[in-house]
Amino acid sequence: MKRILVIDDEPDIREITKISLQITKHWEVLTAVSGLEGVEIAASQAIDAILLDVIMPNFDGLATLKALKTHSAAQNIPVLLLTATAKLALQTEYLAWGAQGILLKPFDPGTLGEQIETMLGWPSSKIEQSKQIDTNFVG
Amino acid sequence: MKILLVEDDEILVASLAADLTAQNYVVEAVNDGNTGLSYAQATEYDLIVLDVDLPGMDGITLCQRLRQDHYEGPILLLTAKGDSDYKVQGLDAGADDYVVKPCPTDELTARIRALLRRPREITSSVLQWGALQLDPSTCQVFFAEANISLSPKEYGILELFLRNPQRVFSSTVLLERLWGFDEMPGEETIRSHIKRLRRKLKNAGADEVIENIYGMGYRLMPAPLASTMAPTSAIEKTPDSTLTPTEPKPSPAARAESAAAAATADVTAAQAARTAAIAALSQFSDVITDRLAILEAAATALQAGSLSDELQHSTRQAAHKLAGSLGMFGLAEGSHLSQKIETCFQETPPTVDAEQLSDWVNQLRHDIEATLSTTSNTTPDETSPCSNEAPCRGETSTGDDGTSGGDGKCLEKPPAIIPPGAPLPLLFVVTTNPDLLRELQTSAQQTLRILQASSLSQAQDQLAQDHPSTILLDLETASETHETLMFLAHVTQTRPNASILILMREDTFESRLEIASYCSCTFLPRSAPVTQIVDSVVESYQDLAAHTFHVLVVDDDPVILQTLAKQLPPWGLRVTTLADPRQLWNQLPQLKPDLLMLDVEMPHVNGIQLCQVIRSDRTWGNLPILFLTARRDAKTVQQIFQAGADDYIAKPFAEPELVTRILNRLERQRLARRLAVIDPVTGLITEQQALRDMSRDLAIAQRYRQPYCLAVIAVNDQSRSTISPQPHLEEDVVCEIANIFSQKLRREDLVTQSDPNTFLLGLYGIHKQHAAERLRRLTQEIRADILQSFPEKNTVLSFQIGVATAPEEEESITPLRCLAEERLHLVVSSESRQPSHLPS
Repeated sequence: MKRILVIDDEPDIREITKISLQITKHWEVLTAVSGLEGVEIAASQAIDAILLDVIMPNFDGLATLKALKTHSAAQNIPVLLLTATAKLALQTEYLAWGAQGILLKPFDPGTLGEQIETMLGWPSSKIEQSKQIDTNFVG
Repeated sequence: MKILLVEDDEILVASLAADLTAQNYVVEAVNDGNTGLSYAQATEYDLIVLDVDLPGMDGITLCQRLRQDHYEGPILLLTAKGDSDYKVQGLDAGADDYVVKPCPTDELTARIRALLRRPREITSSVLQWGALQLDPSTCQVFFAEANISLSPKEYGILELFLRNPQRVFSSTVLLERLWGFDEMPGEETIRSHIKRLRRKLKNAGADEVIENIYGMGYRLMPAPLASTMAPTSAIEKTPDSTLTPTEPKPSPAARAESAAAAATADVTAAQAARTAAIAALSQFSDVITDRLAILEAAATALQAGSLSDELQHSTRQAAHKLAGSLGMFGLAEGSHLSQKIETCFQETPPTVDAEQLSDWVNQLRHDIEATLSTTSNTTPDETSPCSNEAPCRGETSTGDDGTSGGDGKCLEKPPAIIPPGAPLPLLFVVTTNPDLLRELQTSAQQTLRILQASSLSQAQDQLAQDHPSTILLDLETASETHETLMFLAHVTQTRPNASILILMREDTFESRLEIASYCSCTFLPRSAPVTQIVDSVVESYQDLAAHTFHVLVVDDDPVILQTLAKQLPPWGLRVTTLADPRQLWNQLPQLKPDLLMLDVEMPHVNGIQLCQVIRSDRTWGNLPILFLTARRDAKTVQQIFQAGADDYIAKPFAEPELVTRILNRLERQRLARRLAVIDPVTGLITEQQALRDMSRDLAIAQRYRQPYCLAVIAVNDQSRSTISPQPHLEEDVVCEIANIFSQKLRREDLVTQSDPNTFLLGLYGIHKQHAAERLRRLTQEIRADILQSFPEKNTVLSFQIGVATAPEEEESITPLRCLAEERLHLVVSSESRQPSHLPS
């Protein structure tokens, strides 16, 4: 089971992300309301991926991304940006700092998990499910 | 795999085609919509990539045409950035996904691969299991194209299994999912429905669809090989000698079917996630209202020509946030509108006038309110497949503590358990007083969820579906006291866990006494402040929470204690740990656990000895005990069960297995308690309980000068009438009769089985002749139903009925029953051949 950290100051985005990933993928979702809290959690717990909001008060998405990528305990965790702004300049800067991709808000709660899998090159958990069915089928 | 690219950007086509070809896809590319359509009609492609902005025919229209032409493969749409309209239109037109340009080629190819992995069945709403198909849109079930006729309950069971292909459903969970609370059937009803469903499926050729999971429930079998599905075909012989009928090796077809089943589950999960997201909107209504207020303030400031830089910045941010979130709550149009506002406010001065902004804000508010009112009508089960406490219908307010949205384990939690992070207590208010309701909503905004009914009949209907923690009844709702008393008696019976608060019209000792004799409740004067009502509800909820299942774990291993203390509470289980087994005996009376978990090897006293001591005690003898031990040898396991353990789990354990076993054990205990008043075979209340309830109802009837009839009905199988004494009816026939009685009788009537072939009925508020007529019709219906349901048995039922009525003939239940039985004997001895008889 994957463990995802969502860093976003907006409670509705945190909740919808959590609902979406828990229901569709059965992933565990941790949440942080600020960049600093996010870095703290990422550095202290086993996290498979981080969804990071771009626009946050004080310590914004870019500052958080830089902090994550320079922290020895968190730098290898893939980071996907959550943003409602599809500005190319912004994308380039974040990608240069090591973000793996950008998820545009609003996202579809029904397919967010699949989008994450695709962007991070993870095998689809649907395929895993079908493998499980095959196993049961044999045995 | 063959892919068609319809794109006029030659550079993109070249790079994408090169990438895809390198991955062994066959790629064909055209640069206008009309040619794309011709290509798609002429050749079968596995996937089509369409640009939105194409010469000739645009991508959206082309997508629509392809779907109209029954192209079922995936369609990926390429849109320019920011073209939200196109994305929505494209998806509505039948596209499966969209990618915003510019986009790295490797991301695009990854999306294509993901789409190609989806089985085609994903676009179909028909649920499939091998050759068995269930179409939810027409409620029809087919096997190999032959229609299977199922009853609504059988259909419901099959649909539930097909939608949850890997999930184990216990009888209790099936009852909760498919039966109304009022029906209260027992486990036997589930068994008989599953049995009938299996028989019908088997007759149609679909054998072994549902399997029994010992001690846990039922589950859908993995879909079999196509060759085993044909009604008359034998298992195909294959060169693989290990392949047997019971151990089929998965073929590519079976794998595809399994994948299709998984895909169906994914589609359901995606839909559930969307529905849960929309349902969550009400949790954030405050946040969204605040953002709207900023937009409104901006409109006012624009009108007055006083828009400050600070307000412009806040407006841009609020619009940005709304644009990001509304779409996820199903408000795509609202998201788009917010994006427009954000764009306008990026310029100084903003490129929108006050009037236009006001219109947009009003439209946003209207859309949000409309969605909020819709979400308040969402049924709990629709929000999450695994969520136990989801927002309820008719909710009018909520705090920020909403649903957890499912835990991902797909293990059903017993309803009595309140999971952590559960929503606020649900208060069901029965009142016609709008001021009271408004005051409650205002006062309890962050502490309660509120449902309302304005009449007793409406309340009764709503309560059939909702499970409030407290029911607040304003006595001014009903004009007739006996209506109120009947309602309270009904609520006590159907919602025994709900606490009842009564707002008194005239707070007299006599009225309190009268009500208290029908239900256990708390009285509040009509003048009580609303805060007192809210406090009472919260207190009663906390009492309920304190009665969640309590698990006591005794183990000398601190790691195990720590792990269980962390793993079990998310399942609504309260955990107490003891490292020293010597403390157990003294702690039991204080802790009062619902289940005990013991290790075998512990210092001073071992778990097996503890188990023996507990089993020999009169107070604690029935406490469920589950062993958790690293010892796996047969001798130890034997000793554990000999000592009286209920279950045994070997360490190291998997969390889902442990939780399932614990919940299963607790569920059995709950069932055992329920069986004390519910007959396990028929699902009817036991005779003893029925007689108590009939006495209560008769007292109500007498107080309000209503008639009350008691009927004794003897049922026999006419086809075996020559056998003396009359043989007992078969169990499934009795169950079906009980089932029909339960369905057809009114809520105020009662029915129980007094001996194998006899039923006892209490009928409230009707006279003898009317009762006789109703029972005559009802027994005719039962006769016809049994003949139809069990054609192979050729059962022709005959009914003999004796009826007595109060107050004309007798004044209490026991003499009424004697009189009714005397009349029944008269009828039986007259040996009439008519199917139904009633003494004149």
